[in-house]
Amino acid sequence: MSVKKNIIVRGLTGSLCLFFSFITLPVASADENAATAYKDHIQCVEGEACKIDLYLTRGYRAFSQCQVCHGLDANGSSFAPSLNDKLKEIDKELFVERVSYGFTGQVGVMPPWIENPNVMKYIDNLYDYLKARSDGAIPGGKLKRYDR
Amino acid sequence: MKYHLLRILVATCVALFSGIVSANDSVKSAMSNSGNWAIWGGDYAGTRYSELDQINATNVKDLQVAWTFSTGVLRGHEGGPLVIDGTMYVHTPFPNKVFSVNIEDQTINWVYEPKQDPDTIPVMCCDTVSRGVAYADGKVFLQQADTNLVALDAKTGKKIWSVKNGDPKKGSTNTNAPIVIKDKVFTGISGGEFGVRGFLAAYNINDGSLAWKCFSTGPDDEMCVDPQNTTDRGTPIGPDSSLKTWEGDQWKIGGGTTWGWYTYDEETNLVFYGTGNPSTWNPVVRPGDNKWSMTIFARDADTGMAKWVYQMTPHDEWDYDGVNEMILADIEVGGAMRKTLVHFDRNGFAYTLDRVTGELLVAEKYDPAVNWASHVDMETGRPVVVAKYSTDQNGEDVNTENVCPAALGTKDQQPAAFSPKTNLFYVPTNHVCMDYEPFQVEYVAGQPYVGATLSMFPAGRVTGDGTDHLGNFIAWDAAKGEIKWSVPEKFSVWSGALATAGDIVFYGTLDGHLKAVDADTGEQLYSFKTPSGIIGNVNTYTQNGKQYITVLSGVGGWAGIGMAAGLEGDTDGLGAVGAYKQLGKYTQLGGVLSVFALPN
Ligand code: HEC
Repeated sequence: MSVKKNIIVRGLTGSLCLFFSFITLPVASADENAATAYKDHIQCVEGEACKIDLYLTRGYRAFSQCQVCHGLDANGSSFAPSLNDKLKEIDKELFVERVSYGFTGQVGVMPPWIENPNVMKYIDNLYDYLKARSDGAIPGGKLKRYDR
Repeated sequence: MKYHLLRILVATCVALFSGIVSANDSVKSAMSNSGNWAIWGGDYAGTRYSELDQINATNVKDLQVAWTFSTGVLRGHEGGPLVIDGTMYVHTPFPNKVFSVNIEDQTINWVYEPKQDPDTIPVMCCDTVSRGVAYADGKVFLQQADTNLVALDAKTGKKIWSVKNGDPKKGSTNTNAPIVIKDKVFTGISGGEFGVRGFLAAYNINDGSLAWKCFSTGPDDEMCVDPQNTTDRGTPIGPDSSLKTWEGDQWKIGGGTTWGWYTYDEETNLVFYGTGNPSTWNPVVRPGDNKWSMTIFARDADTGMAKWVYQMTPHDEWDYDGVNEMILADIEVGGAMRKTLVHFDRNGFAYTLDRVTGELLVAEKYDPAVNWASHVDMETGRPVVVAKYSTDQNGEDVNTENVCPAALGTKDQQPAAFSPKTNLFYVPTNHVCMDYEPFQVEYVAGQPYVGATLSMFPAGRVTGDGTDHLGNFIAWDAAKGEIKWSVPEKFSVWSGALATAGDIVFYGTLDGHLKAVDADTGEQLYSFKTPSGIIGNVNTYTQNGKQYITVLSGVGGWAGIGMAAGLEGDTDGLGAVGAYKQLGKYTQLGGVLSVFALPN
């Protein structure tokens, strides 16, 4: 199916007709910047929720250890800050340090995760997942996989 | 072996304390004065009902703030203050301060502030809440977050004894309010997300020595069950009832924690409580019923021996902890007066049991959105699980969608109330559903052990009824298993209810309103915006013959997360969710006690 046809179909039936928009739009192919490494793991189709691969899914799973404090969508809770905000402020190096060793700050106590394989094995995945969330590249919650 | 040791201990203790006036008497006399609020539930039965009727359906609209009191603590404030003979005991979340306040002039008699290791905080899943203190025999009992159970001198606030009830380094913490029965103080343990093995412990109130400790899982003697005499809906549970339902040693890190409320029936001398989820959240790796997680326990208050058990959610696949309060009420069921236990479980079913025998009388959904099970089979007592909502049958790495209720349950710890005048239960509820995907995790002691990803959203998105509210406050007929009325609330209702002889029911909302509604109709009669969101319980007392209503505000707790469920506009393409606003737009942190009265 051609892109042109797709546009025509959409024009005719409106955005409800998603069956025809199977063409994926690679969000980033050239960008090699580490901060946006997540782009290689996301595929978005117009009018549909973006899909992610196993790599980012592992990041999301690691994030499940953080949800009880930082909120289900990483938007923060009454006792821990929004990670969507935090990842705009800190770089990957500081992120890994904070997550590994924890710290006590103005808000409260962030626990250390260095001994937790469920987080540390996937720390790159976790960073990329949260960075993608923070940049607004993917929505919160469970996302479908495109690689299976 | 261990059990025999326990028995000897128990016997010794009984011998030691016989002849001494039992603390039961002091609690009972404090409770019998309706001007006091002497125990978390107002009485041992946990009815949260008060005979006081000065404030009633006609005049409650005139209610005013009489005085307020800041706790100086920011975290979520669950539970509520006790009032005993002119003194109020106010507790706080971590660092677990206790204030003794003279209610006559609101001066502070004493403050107790324990020094606790801040390392305790990170092992407390879902905020550093505390649900309050217990009072007996001139002592105030505080269950600190770091698991230390302390007895304070009620007059001076000085520590009399302290005992360590668990190891925070392994993920054990405490959030529960203890209760005192006779010469013992009862407490449990939190930490299901860390694989902590749950138990109920009884300590002697005089010196803090352990009288007995009975686990939720494991060998019969460690659970204080008798294969022949402990029954499950009338049938003996038989030997190794727990061990048979786990693979290998999994029960050792299998959860079944006991962080909810405890109630007591003097006539049968039974103490009632529920056990939490089996660890991990990934059900695939722990085949079997995982007994006795998710179970109602009825134990002899002297020996701990279990009289009966009933498991509500065998082989949990959704984190539906069974810890919610067991309310003891005598109501007519099927034409006969029954001594019942009524329990609103996280799993969305409200259970009415005979509390003497453990017979299951009624089990019905108390939110029509509940969909993970079609019904409870009254023969087997088991929920009939709907395959498409089974996170186990769907398997690891598969997202099970639109399960109702969400992991925080149709109701969490926030206790309901029962009015013997209307014979109705008043229940604060959540109206939230979830997607749940289990996956493999490795167990490391002291590390969280969450084996599932979770997202939550308003139940209306599943029922398709166009609603987007996250809570309801309902009146429940436990004899019929029917909702009498239901009032929608924007957010989950996370505050403990109070019913009074004034034909009104009080509860608080997450956006900070104290509300009074008509006990018969649910019609709102009063609303006042307190300084912060309410996750505390509404209590009442009298001072010089005048009735007061109290509630702690101070948003937080699991509600601080649960309420945020689905509030983000971008979780999917559905517009309804976008209508939500963050709770932060309505309320901010900070613990304040508000006390209300009618104008003079
Ligand atoms: C027990 C609650 C809790 C858990 C679980 C938790 N955090 Fe935190 N985290 C906090 C608190 C509280 C803070 C804020 C500390 C402060 O600034 O006072 C924080 C701060 C942070 C920050 C900000 C660092 C900075 O420099 O400001 C990052 C990043 C973070 N957490 C990541 C994570 C990740 C990733 C996980 C899961 C692996 C996680 N957290 C789990 C409580 C928690």
